[in-house]
Amino acid sequence: MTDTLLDIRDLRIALPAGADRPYAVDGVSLTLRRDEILCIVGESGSGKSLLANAVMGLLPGAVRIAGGSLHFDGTDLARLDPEAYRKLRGRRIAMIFQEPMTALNPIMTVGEQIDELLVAHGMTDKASRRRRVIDLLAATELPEPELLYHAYPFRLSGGQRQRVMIAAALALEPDILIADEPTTALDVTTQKQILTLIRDLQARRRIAVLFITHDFGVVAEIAHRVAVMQWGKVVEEGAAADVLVRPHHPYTQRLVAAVHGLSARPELAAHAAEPLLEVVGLSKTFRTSQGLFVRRRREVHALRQVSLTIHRGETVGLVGESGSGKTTLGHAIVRLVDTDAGEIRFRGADILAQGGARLRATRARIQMVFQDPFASLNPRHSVGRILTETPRIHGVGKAEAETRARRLLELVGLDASAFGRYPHEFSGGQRQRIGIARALALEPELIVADEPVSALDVSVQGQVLDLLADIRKRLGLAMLFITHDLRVAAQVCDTIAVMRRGELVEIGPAAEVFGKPRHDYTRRLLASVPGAGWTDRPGTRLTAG
Amino acid sequence: MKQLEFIAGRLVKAVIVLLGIVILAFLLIRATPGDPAAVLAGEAGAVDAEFMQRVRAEFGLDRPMAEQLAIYVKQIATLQFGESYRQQRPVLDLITERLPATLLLTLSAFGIALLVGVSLGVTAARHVGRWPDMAITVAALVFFAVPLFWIGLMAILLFSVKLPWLPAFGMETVGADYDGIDALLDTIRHLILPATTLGLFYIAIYVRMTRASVIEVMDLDFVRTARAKGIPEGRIWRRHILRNALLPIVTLASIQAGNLVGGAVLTETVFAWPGIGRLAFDALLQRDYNLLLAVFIVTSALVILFNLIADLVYALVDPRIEVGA
Amino acid sequence: MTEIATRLVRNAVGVAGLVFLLLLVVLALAAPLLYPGDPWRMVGSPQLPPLSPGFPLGTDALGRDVAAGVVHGARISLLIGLVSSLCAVVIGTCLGAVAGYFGRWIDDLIMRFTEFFQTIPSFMLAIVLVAIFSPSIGSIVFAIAIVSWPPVARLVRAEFLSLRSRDFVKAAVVGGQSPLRIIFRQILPNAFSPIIVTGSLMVASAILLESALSFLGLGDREFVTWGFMIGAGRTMIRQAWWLSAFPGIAIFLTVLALNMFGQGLNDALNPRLARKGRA
Repeated sequence: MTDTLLDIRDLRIALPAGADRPYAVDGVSLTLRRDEILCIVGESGSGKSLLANAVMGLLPGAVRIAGGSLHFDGTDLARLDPEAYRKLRGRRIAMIFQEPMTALNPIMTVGEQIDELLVAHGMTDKASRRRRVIDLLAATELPEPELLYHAYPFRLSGGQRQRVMIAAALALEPDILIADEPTTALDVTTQKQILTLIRDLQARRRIAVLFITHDFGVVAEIAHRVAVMQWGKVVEEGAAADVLVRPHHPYTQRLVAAVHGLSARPELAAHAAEPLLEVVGLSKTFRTSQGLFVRRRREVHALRQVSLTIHRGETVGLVGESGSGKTTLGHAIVRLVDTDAGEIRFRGADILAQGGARLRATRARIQMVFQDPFASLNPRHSVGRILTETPRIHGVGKAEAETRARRLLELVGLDASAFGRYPHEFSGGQRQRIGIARALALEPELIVADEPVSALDVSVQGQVLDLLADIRKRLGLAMLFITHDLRVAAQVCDTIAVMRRGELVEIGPAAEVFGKPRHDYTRRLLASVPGAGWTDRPGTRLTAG
Repeated sequence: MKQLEFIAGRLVKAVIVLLGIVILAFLLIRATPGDPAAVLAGEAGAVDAEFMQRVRAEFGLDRPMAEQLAIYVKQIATLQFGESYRQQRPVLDLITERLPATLLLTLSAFGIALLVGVSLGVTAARHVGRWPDMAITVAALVFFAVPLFWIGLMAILLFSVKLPWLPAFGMETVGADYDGIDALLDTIRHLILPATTLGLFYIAIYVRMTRASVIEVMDLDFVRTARAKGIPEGRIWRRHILRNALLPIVTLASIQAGNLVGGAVLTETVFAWPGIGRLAFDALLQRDYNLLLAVFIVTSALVILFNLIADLVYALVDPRIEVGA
Repeated sequence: MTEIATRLVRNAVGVAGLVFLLLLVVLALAAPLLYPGDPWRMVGSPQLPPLSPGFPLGTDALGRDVAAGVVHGARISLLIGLVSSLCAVVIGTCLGAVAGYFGRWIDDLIMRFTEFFQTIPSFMLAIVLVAIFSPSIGSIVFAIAIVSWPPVARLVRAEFLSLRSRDFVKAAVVGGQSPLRIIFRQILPNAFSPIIVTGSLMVASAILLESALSFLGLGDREFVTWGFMIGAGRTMIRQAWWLSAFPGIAIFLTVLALNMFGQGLNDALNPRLARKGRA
């Protein structure tokens, strides 16, 4: 018996006609050995997910293997008949996916969904199956396995669902576990736990793990070996320790460099400017009521007595996990949601009391940049219209608005010809530039940026962040930068505010918050950042310029 | 407990909707030009003064509007629909004796439509893009476009006139006096044409709904998960795809139920089926608006009942309902 | 390869529907030229079967030309179908837009109202409305519009709900645009294609509804309609099948063409959804 479990040779996967390239995977050769974690790293469109699905024999209908070979433990996978392949799946090769929220059948109990796997692979004794399922749930550190057996997925959090997926995947002690971005949809602290779980289970059971990710931080946490993919090809392969510290291929170097360390930018010292925006004791509770007789109320405290000051020219990073209330705070400042109590003072005036013309004038001073570059631009409007529409409402003449728009396009690094084109003609990064230009069109003093780079690939993230920093400096803007990604926050923010469950738990200069965190939760967040030990090891810091 | 609360909520909602329908009927009577008593009694002038007086007293038409409404609601709530002048009989009696025939017809049609429609829809989805899908989709498109009453007439022409296989009219063979099993068979022979006719249009609807729903579920993540677990295809279809795809059909099917009752008016007219649809048609011909409105209220109540049952079925089959609602 | 072929065929289906509809409109407009005068007039011997000289579709018991009736009937069917669908789309769009955009209690109120109308058996309500307001083109259009708008309202509301949470709408709010401007300039244009598709399919069901009403004797007595012709021919089905057969075929073809066109339009406007079926 050899040590090589999976042998991929010169694999080609053809895309249907009309795709942006003929082969999604183009001549990839890789091996996966027993008792190792191989990370395949790449940005969107690199072909990494299709590679994983090809191993499972689960390629989408229009996509097919066009060349090369896939051998699993000596078996040519291409020659397997469907039934034999099915018996392999789940039993010897298992897989978990990116979206735990949708990966489980909503109308089957957790127990049934693991149980059916045991049945499908020939375990007939009901009692022992049940014992096995409960053991598995316990092994993945899920609470109260006996009760959980009968629970439906909607009762579980994302992290818990991913644990159920892992429990099912490991049910029959497979040789290979394929994990396709299993932690991308999770919060950092949950991500940390799941990564630890996978690493522990792998070590204990000595299985092989093929781990697909876009995040070099995650690679640093978990990988033994790394293969970097770009446009369907493996551009670099090697031991994790080597690739992470001494990347050879320029693409790998770029990706590694884009992972910023967790120390604040030294040149951005604390400002002694006057306050621009003051949030004082802001509270907001979302209520949903249901039921006709008994008004069952569900209350979510999105903001609890939040106070925060943004000075002129300052960038405040608002960090926290999903549900922490950071987006609600951003929306409250631009008056997208109403609040229950507290004040928001902009240049001394309480904007919550404003309406009509006064509010419109304030709106021009506080603008917003959004997360999703595909949803933030009206698909039916030309870029020119998007950039001139709001200034025209605020009384700028047509010719003047158009001149300004062209100047803005130049400012955000786009060609002036973009003026007459439509959003769908641009890439994600370019659209985000248009979104930034739109926010600048009203010449604001404060920009609320809600996760402005989260939807972008790492290499594009850097460019957009640089643009934001550059504009900020040139125009003297203040910014509230909302993000879940501490690395990104470290890259652009002067001040860091940490939120959890509607509360602002810590606020201070970036260097202090990252260097000497005072609150317990901040420490936990920092410890959860994947690859923190790698980027911030003294001497080997890989800070981007 | 939560299930109970859910059921109670739906019951209250049903009662409110029913009340709304009665009020709507009241407003319709008032909206007509002229004397509402004449409307209720039927063709103006054709009714004797004494009857008009009785109608006025019964529905309190000489009182103020609000009071009239209260009286009307109370009348309907206690099932006092008044009397049909044309037929010289209480409206309630007319309806109750016709109701079983309509229930037999609509429920058979619904059964046929659901059974055939859903199985064809699933078949089409399983072979999406290939010939069985094409054939089923085209057939659905065709039957979706055929007027119900016309296909009924053509069915009579074909299966009763040209090929004397099935009876064209009524619910039983007049003068045959069958009993026992023969009577049942006789009724079934009479039922085949109208029930199929009424069912055809809904087959087309259910085919489309089922096909779309199954295709949507087929692409969902948990189906991929099931494949990755090595679950056999048969079980993936039964437990994962179909169960999830057919859930929304319960709701969609119940929305269509209202139209089924409407279709019964046409079917019963074409096939002289002695149900309340036919009764409505007769009321229409005789301008017996009180009877017509009573049929309207009763059919609406039937639909509400049907929707209520669908809600309850949904609550039983979908585990998420206890928190959702 | 098959995907492209299927899409071509699909589009061909839509185009075929459109061509038929255009021909029908021309025919309807030309009716007074083709069959001048009142189509109710007696023009030939009674009960002529189809393919009789001068009367390709035969005549009825009073010697009226079935072909003339079918051609003139097209005018009323198309007119009522179009106008009532237009009304239903306008009502549904307004209610749905307000409900979806403003949300909260306004949404609750409008949706309860919509559900109420969806619960009432629509055909029964149409019958009652036309009967009580006495049959005329106006009352028929009114009745059909009243029973047809709820699906449009639900659709538009759903579109608005999803669109209004899009970032480009938030950007418009932050930019200081007024609600009316946002509804009409930002959201509505993005919701147009499903509304148009629903509208075109609704014309088909409106024509079916109108013919059913006419069949029951609730048509406008001033005009010949397809449904009325079938209803009148019903009692003669054993002796003169052509009296009900041809108007029925006319309804069938028109409704089929509308559905084909609607489907083609849907595929053309939502290529993503159309492709989904063939993943």
